Amino acid sequence: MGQIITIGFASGALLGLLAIGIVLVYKASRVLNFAQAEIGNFATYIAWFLIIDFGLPWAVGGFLALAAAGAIGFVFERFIVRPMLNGPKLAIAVATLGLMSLLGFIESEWEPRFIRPPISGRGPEIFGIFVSPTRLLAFFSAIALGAALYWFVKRTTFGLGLLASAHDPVAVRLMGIRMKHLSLFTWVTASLLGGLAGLLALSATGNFGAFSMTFSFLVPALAAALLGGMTSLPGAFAGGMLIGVLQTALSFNFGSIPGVEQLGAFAVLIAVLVLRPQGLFGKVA
Amino acid sequence: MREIVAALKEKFAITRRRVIGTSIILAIIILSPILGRVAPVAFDDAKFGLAAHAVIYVIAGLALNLLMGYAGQVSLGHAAFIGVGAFTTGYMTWWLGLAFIYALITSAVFGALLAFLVGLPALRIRGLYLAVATLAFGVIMKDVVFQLEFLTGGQGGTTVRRPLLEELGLDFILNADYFVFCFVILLGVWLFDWFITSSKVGRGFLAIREDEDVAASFGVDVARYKLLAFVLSGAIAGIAGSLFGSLSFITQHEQFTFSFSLSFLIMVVVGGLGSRPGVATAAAFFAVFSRLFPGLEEYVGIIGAALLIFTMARHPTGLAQAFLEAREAKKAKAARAGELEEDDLPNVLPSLPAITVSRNGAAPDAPGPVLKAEKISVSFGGLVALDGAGIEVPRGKIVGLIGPNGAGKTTMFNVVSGFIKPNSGTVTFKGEDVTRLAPHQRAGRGMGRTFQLIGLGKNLTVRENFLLAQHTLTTYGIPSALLRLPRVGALEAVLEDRSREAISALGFERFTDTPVRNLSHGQQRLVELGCSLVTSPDLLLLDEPSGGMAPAAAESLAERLIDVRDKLGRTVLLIEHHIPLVLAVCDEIYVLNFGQILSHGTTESITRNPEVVAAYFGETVA
Repeated sequence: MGQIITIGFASGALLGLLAIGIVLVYKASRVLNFAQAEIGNFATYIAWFLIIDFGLPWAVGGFLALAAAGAIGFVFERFIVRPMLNGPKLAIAVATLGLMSLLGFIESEWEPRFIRPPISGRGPEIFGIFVSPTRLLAFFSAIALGAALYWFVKRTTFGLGLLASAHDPVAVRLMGIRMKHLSLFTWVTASLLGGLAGLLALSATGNFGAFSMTFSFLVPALAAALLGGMTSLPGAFAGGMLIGVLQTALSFNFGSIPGVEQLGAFAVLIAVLVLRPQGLFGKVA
Repeated sequence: MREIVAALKEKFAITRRRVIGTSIILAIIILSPILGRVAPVAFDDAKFGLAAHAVIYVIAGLALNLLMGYAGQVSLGHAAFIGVGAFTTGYMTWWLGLAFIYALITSAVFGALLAFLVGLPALRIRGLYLAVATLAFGVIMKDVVFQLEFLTGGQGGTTVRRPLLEELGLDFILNADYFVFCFVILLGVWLFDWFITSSKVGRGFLAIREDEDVAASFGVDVARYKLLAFVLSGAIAGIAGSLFGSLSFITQHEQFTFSFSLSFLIMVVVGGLGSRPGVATAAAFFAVFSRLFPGLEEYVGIIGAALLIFTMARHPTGLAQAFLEAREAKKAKAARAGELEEDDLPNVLPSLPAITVSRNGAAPDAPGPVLKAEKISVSFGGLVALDGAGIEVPRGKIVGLIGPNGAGKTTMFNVVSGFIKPNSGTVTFKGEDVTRLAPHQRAGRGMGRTFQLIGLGKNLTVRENFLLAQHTLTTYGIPSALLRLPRVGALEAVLEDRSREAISALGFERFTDTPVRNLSHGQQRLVELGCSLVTSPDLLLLDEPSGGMAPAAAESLAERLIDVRDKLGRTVLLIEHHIPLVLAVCDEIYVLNFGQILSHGTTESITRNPEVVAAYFGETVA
C-alpha cells in the first residue's frame, strides 16, 4: 500500500502538472488543449539532441528544452489562437489537435530515443521501495510549481483576472487586464508545464518515441482536470495524484493485462463525465 | 420515387448534359476491369489496387465527415473502427469461412455497436469529450484488443479473404473487380449520406454543430442526435475497414495507429468539414499521395498537420467551404453593385409570416393560462438567481417581463424553456406539468423561443434555418429519413414551400441562400423572429427582440408584435429593455428584481405604481 502511494504520488504529480496546464488554458479561453502532453514529448526530443548530440550538461539542455516548449506555446498562441479567440471554440480545439499531430509527426521522423535521468543514483528508500531521484525531483518540483501558481492566481490582480476571465471578460478588462495577455500567459505557462512534465516523466522511464506523452499521459491528465471540475487548480493537481495512485495500484495488481493503466484512466474519465460532470472538487458553473 | 428525382434535379441542377457525362464516367469505372483484362500492361492490377485504396479512404473520410463535419463532434479513434471492420472480416472470412458479404454487414453492425457503447457516456456532456474518449478507445483497441491472439491472430495478424458469394462465382481475385465492388459501395454510402443531409436528421446534426442550445430550442433531441451521428459514422467506418482489410489480404494491429486516426481527421478538416466532394477529394488525394510524390511520403503527416492548423486558423469551415464562399461572395458582389443600401434595415418592418399549422399533442385550447410558472427558485453555487418567483401567461396576451440587469429575467426564460432545471417550483404548459421535460420536448409541445445572441445557425443559410425551425413539424421518423421513404420527400417539399412563403413574407427572398452570419444584426433578428413563428407556437418567448434594431425599426416592431397577437392569435412572453416597446404592446407586466416578483399588473397599473416608476422607468415616462 505504502509503495503504491509513493509511486502513485510521484507519477501523479506529473499528471497534476499537465492537468494544471489543461485547466489554465481552459479557464482563459474555454478550449481543451489536446497538444498539452505532446509539447512535453517534443521538448524531451530537443533536450535529447542538446544533451546527447551537443554534449550539453543536463541542466542547460533541460532549461533550453523548456524554453523551446514555452516558445511553442508563445508562437501558437500569438499566431494561431489569438486571431481565433472570438471565433468558435471548436476551431481552436481542432487547431490544438493539429499542433499535437504536427509535433508528433515531426517526432516520427526521428528514431525513438533513450534519455538518462537528470540525477543518477538509486535514491532514498520510502515505504520499502527505492524512489529514484528523478521521481523525487518530479514530485517536489510539481508541488512547488503548483503552489507557486496557486499563489500567483489567488494573490495577484492578474491571477484574479484569470479566474474571472471565463465568467466576465468585461469586468476583467475593466480591471486593466487585457484578454490577450491572459491568453498568452496561459498558453506559455501551460506549455512550460507540459515541457517540464515531459522531461521529468520521459527521463524517468528512459524510452520515448513519437506521441509517447500523448498516449500515456493525455487521457489521465484530462481525467485529472475533469476531477477538478476543469476549473480548480488544486483540484486538478489532487485529481492527478488520485489517478496516479489508481494507475499504480492497477499496474501492481493487474500488470499482466496490457493497457490496464489506460483503461483505469479512461474508466475514471467516463465515470466523472457520467456521475459528476462538475468534478469532485468543482462547483456547478 | 418521382419526388426524389425531382429533388435531385433541383438540388444538383441536373441537366441532360450532366446526366450523360456522369453516366459515361460511371460506365467507364464500372466497366474498367475489362480494360485490365484487355490491356494488362497499361492497366496493371496494382493500379486498380491503388484506386480501390483511394475509394476506401473516401468511404472512411465520409464516415468521419458525418460525425465531425455535420454534427461537430471530434473522434480521435476512427482507426479503431476501421480496424474492427478489418478484423471482423478476417475472422469471418478466414476462420469461419463465411462469404465476404456477411462479414461486410457484420463489420457495419460492430462499428455501430462500439460507437454506441463509447458514445453513450461520452456524448451526454457537451464539449469535446468524445475526442478524449475516442483517443483512449483507439489506443486501447490497438494495444490490447487488436493483439488478442484468439480474435485477431495476435502480432502476426490475420488473413482476410474477399470472395463475395462463391456460389454465384463472384470472387474478387483481381483488384480490378474488387475496385469496382468498392466503388459501388462508395456510391451506396454517398447516396445514404445524401439521404441524411437532405432530411431533418442532417439539419439536426448541423444545428448541433452550430449551437446545441439553438438546436434544442428548435426541438432537436441533441443527445440522441449526437449519438446517432457517431453510430452511423462507426457503421460506415466499419464498412470501410472491412474493405480495407480485404484489400491487402492480411491485417495487423500495427495498421490502426493513432496517426492513422489523425490522418482521417486531417482529411476531413482540410477537405472542408461537411463538404462531401471536398472530403472525398482530400481523402483520395491523401491515399495516392505517396505514389504521386514518392520523395515526400514520409512528410505527408507533417504537411497534413500544418495544413490542418492553417485551415482552422484561416478558414475554420474548411478549405472547400472557403472556395465555395469565395465564389458566392463574388456572385453576391456582382449582384449588389449599384444597390449599396441593400444591407440597411428597412425603416418599417415587413410583415411576419402568418402561418398556421396543426400540431399533435396536447389540445391547443386547454382551459387556463398557456404558461404557469410557480414558486421557481434557482441558485448557482451560492448565488440566488430566482427566489420563489412565479408568472402566468394567459392565452392570446402579450406579457412583459422587465427588471434591471441581473434580476433573473433570462434565468426565468431558461427555466420556462427547459435549459435550466429549477431547484424547486413547477412549470405548467397548456395544463401539463413540463418541469422535468428537456428543452426539445417543450419545443415539440409548441414552445418557441428566441435568444439574446440570436438563436440561429449562423453558418447556415436563411432557407436552411427556416427548414431547421420546422423540425418539430417534421413528423417522419429517423428510420424513414435514413431509408428515404417516399413520405420524406413529400414532407420535405411541404417544408420547402412553407419556408419560401415565410421568407417572402419577411421580404428576404434575395437572402434565401445567404449564410445568416453575413446578415446585419437587425436582419438576423427578423429571420430569428420569422423562424420562431413558422411553426405557429402556442407560446412565443422573445428575449429582447428589439436588441440590435434601428430605432425606427424597433418602433414598428411594436406593430408587428401586436399583429402576432391579434392577427395570428399567438401568446407571447417578452423580455425587453426598450420600455416604450413594452408599454406599447404588453397586456400585463411582471417586474422582477433580485429574483422575486416585485410587482405584477396590467400595463396601466404598473406605470402608475410609483415604486416601479421610480426604480425602473425614471420620472419622465409618459
